[in-house]
Parts: sequence; structure tokens; C-alpha cells
Amino acid sequence: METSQLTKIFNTFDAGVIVELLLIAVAATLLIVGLQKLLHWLADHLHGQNRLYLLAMAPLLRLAILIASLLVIVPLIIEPSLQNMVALLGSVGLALGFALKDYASSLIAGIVAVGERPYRNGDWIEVNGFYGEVRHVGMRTVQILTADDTQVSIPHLRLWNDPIANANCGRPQLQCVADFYLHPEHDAAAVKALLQDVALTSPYLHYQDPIMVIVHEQPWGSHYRLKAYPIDARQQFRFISDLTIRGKAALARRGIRFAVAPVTAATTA
Amino acid sequence: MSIEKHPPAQPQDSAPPPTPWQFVRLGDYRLPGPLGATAALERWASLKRIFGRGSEPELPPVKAEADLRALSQSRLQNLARPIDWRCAVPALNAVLAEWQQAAPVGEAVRFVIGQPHCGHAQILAQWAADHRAAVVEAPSVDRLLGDDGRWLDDWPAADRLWVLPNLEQCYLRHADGLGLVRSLLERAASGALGRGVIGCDSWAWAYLRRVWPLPQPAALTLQAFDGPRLSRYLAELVSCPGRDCLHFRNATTGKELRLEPGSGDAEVSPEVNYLAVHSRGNIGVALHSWRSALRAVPEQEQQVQPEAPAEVAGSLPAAVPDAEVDDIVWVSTALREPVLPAEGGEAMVFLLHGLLLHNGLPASLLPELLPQPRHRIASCLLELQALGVVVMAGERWQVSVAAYSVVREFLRRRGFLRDDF
Repeated sequence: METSQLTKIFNTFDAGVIVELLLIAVAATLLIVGLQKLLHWLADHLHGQNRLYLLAMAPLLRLAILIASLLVIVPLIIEPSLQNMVALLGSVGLALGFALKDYASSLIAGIVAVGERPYRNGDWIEVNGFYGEVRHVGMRTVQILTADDTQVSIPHLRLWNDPIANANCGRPQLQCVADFYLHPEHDAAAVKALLQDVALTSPYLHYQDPIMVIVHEQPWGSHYRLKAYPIDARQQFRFISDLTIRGKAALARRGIRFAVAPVTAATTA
Repeated sequence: MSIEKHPPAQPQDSAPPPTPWQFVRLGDYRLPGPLGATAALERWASLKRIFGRGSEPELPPVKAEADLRALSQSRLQNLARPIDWRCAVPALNAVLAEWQQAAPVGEAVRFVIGQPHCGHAQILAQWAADHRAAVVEAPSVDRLLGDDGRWLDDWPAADRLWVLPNLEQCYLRHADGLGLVRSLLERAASGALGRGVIGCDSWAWAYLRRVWPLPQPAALTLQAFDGPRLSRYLAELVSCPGRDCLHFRNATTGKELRLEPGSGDAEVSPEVNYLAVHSRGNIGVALHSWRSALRAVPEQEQQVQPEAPAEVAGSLPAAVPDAEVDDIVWVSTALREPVLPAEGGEAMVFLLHGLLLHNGLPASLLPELLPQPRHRIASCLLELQALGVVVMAGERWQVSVAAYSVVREFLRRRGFLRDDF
């Protein structure tokens, strides 16, 4: 591209334009940061669905502000004709395609993630073996906080190929499972009813969702899976602990024996 | 609010003013509807509570709070005495009369559901005394947790009318605490226990329907005290002889609050309407808020102090000015409700929810029902007691009447199971 053509594409930069560009960039940044802080502050005062709605709005608003800023900035930098836009976008596309392929892919996947919403702020997702709550959907990465209080940043480009398991999909509740392994000699119907009562009497329980007990007979005994929903997804680990502790106590009070791993299996493990 | 100085003379054959007490089916309970300014006030108060702002008045008040004093107990007794639950018994009689006459056919058991602080147990106890019905006491904790069927075996004879006033004390939210109430409901609904009336707290009722879903029982409840009903009731409570010159005035605006006894169609003061909406028709909560809102200037309060305890019951003391001098009682518009910590932690939320589901629990049982350790529960109880959120009633910790609306809203916002009122 010759120098004369380039000067036609780009506007003349004087101090006024540069200041204007800087002001727009600073204003957009401040607006994004301020809005995200405000939304998180508001969400901290709310619970359930309202909290998740607010958190999910953050990336949408950020995208809207970025697009609006670009729409204002581009005419300041180049003469906004069709020819100029094609030339500029073509050059930028080439540069990104060769030099920053993964970065660009993550940015585009980030925009897709905002639209398709495979995960939102407040969702509990599992990607590549990492399970945690989505705390921030950024431009390039999604940040999750695991149960062990570790923050994991996952590039959005995982969206293209990797499966993403979302446990609550924008709902405040998600299903939790507490496992019980019992000696095979017992009244299965009574145990099933008892485990249902264990869930029904948990203070964490969300009553509008069903309680289920699934029984699997195994060579070593009976495997019970008690499934129920806590009021808030953030309570899931405490809920499972509560079900397990009270379930074990209730079973023990009725003299029901727990399964013990066979010696061979235990040593292999 | 003022009492009508010259109420229109009632014709000899005209019906007496309708009683504010009325029992209706659960589905017919109508929440007092917020109207205009009342709705806006309620929403604004709720928003301020969410974001931790106080309820300070925004306009300079006609009477500053600092210049006013709470009424003495004797004066409060004359202006807004505590609820006498016996007044509700005729209304319960009226709705149960047909059921009683239909014996032995028809439903064996009727349920009476009451909101916290709405006296369902006292009303049913009085109803049982009036009808010479056997009153069944709730089982002991040991029997509850042991699923001890002897409690049901000792039931009154099937041909005798019985009343169980406290179904909420017949279960525990514990894996071993539901068997007995399931047996009871099954036998009662089938008619095996004869004819009887079961009283239950509204929160326990919401929970028990998930424990043992009843096939659409015709449960009864006290109709909500909406603006007109509450206004009429508050007017009835004024018992002093000087009521003709008694005036209730809004301490912020100075406007007079009018109570119109017996005239349901009359316009209700916004203050009373707000009280009805805020308390969601719960008469216990509404009356408590009303009593705590009444104020007087100190000099006036001294003037109307009784000289001897004997005068408390009704007569005004000699120092009371004659009929030409107005007696003004100021009504504070700032709600005096305990403020819960914005994020009080899981222990506090579970504790409050557990107390409401059982309409109060003894401290010794709380560690059995909650996941927190005993010492954490004890410290949480003390903290809430200091804030005026929980009180000890007998041997049971209960959510206080002053805090009930706040706690209900607190739990609602967090998605906890709550009653249908």
C-alpha cells in the first residue's frame, strides 16, 4: 500500500484528535469498570434469580460500551468510506490471523459466549476438569472460582472444541448428590424413605424442586444416590456435607451397616 | 386519627357494626392491597432495607421525635390494649357451626391456620372450653423423636369432640421427627380419631404440606386486617371515657388520623392503611406497630397519668382536662423494627427459619435441627436477642412480634420456604 493511499485512509492527527481519542478511551474504561463494580455491588445485596440476572448483564453492557466506543473512534481515525473500511479491516484481519490467532479466536469466542451464553456470571461450570463458579466473563477469558478458593482463567476459545458442563444454567439452584454405600442386607424401601426425609429436613433444601433417591445394587453392596437442590448454588458443598452427616447418623440409629470396600479393591486403590 | 365526636345515632333495628374478626377459607385470604402512596411508601421502605439505609423521615416533622415520649403502660392500656383473643371465638363459632351440626357425616377434622402472633392456639383453647372439647397436648420431644405411637393411642374417645391447638409442636424438622405427625394426619384425615379441630401455625403448615400432602383440606384462617378492618379494630380498643376529645395526629405532618368505628366504607387514613399493608394483615404485628408508634408530649403525659393504680382500668384521672381541651396522641411514622445484619451469615438465617417453622423452639433442640455447632447457635441467639429479633417465650425462643415482618421479608428475599400469607 503506497504512502499516498495510506494518507487517504487515515485522517490527519492533530493534538485535538489525540486528546479526543484518549478521552473516549478513558471514558469507556471508566464506564465499564464503574458499571461492573455497580452491578456486582447491587448483586451482593440481592439473592436468587435477581442476583444472577444482574451478574449476567455485566458482559453484555461491556460489549455494548465497547461497540459504541469503536463507532465513535473509527470515524476519528479513518475516513469512513466503504473502500477505506475494507482496506483497514482486511489489514487488521491479516495481522490478527497470523500473529495473534489464538488471542483473536478467544476474543471472538468471548463475543459468541455473550450471545450464546454457555456460561454466565454466577453459573457453576466444568471445563477441562476445572469446576467452579463463574466470577467474571472477560473479553478473552472466563474466570472461575473453584471450591478450593482457586481462581482459574480459561480462554474462551475452549468454547469451540471442549465440552462445557453447566450445572445451573442461570438458575439459582443446582442438583446435588450425596452418596451412601450400604451393606446389602437391609430394607431398601425403608432406607429410601429415610434418605428422602434426610433431604426434606435439611435447612439448605429448596422445597420447590424434587427429591430423588436412586438405588444401584453392586456386587459389594447397595449404592444410594440422594439427589436434591439447595436454595442457593453456592451452598452445594455444605448441603452435600449436611446430607451426608445427617444421613449417616440416621442410618446408624436404625442399625444399618455401611459397606466396606473389599480388601482387594482397597489395596488396589 | 380521631374518634368520632358525635357518631350518627344508630336506629333501634339497625344491625350492629360488623366485627373485624372473620374466619375464611385459606384461599379466600386477601392481602391488604397497597394503594397509591401506601404502595410507594412500602416499596421505598423495602428498598432502603435491602441497601441498609435507615428509616429516617425526610421532612422536618411537626413534632420532633426527641420532643415526644412513649406512652405509659396505663395510658397504652387505655388506648391500645393487648388483643383479647376471646373476641375472635364468636367468628370461629360462626364458621364451624355448620360443620358441627353436620356430625357425624362430612369432614372429620377442620384445620385452623394462624400466622405467628395471631393467637390461633389461644382462640382454639377458648373455643374448646366453650364447647367442652378435649384439648390434646402436643407430644414430648422424646416421643416425637422416638416416633412413639402411645401419644396417638391416648387420644380422646372417638365420640368426643377434641381440639389440638398446636400442630406446629407435633413435629420436628429432623429425620426422626416426622413419623408421628404423618401418622396423626393420616388417622385424623381418615376419621379414625373422631371429630376434632387442629390449629397450626402458618409456617409449619407450609412445611407440613410437603411432609404429608393433605388432599385440599378446607382449612380456615383469620381474614386479613386490611385498612378498614384495622381502623375499626383500633377504634374499638380506645376505652377511656375521654375519647370524645381524643385526637391522633401524625407526628410528621400534623394531620389528624381518623378512626371511624363501624363505618367500613369511610376513607381509611393512609397511616392505618400503610400499617395494614406492612403487616400483611397480621393483627398481632399491626397492633404492636401501632402501640409502639403512639407518642405524647411529656407534659401532657404527666397530666393524664393516673393517680392511683385503680384508675388504670377505665376512668380518667381528675387531672384530665375537661371536654373542651383536646387530648392529642402523636403517631410516629418511623417504624420501630429491629434491623437485621445485612449479611448475618448462614447460622442466623437458618436459626430464624427454624424458629418460624416450629413457631419457636427450646434452645436445647436447636443443635439437633441445625447444621451449626451448639456454641455458634448460642452466640447467634444472644446477638439476635440483643437486637430484639428473638425473644424467649416460656422455654422457647421465638421471632419477636416487632421483628416478624423484617424476618419474613429477609427470608423471602433469600428464597426460603415461607407461609402463604
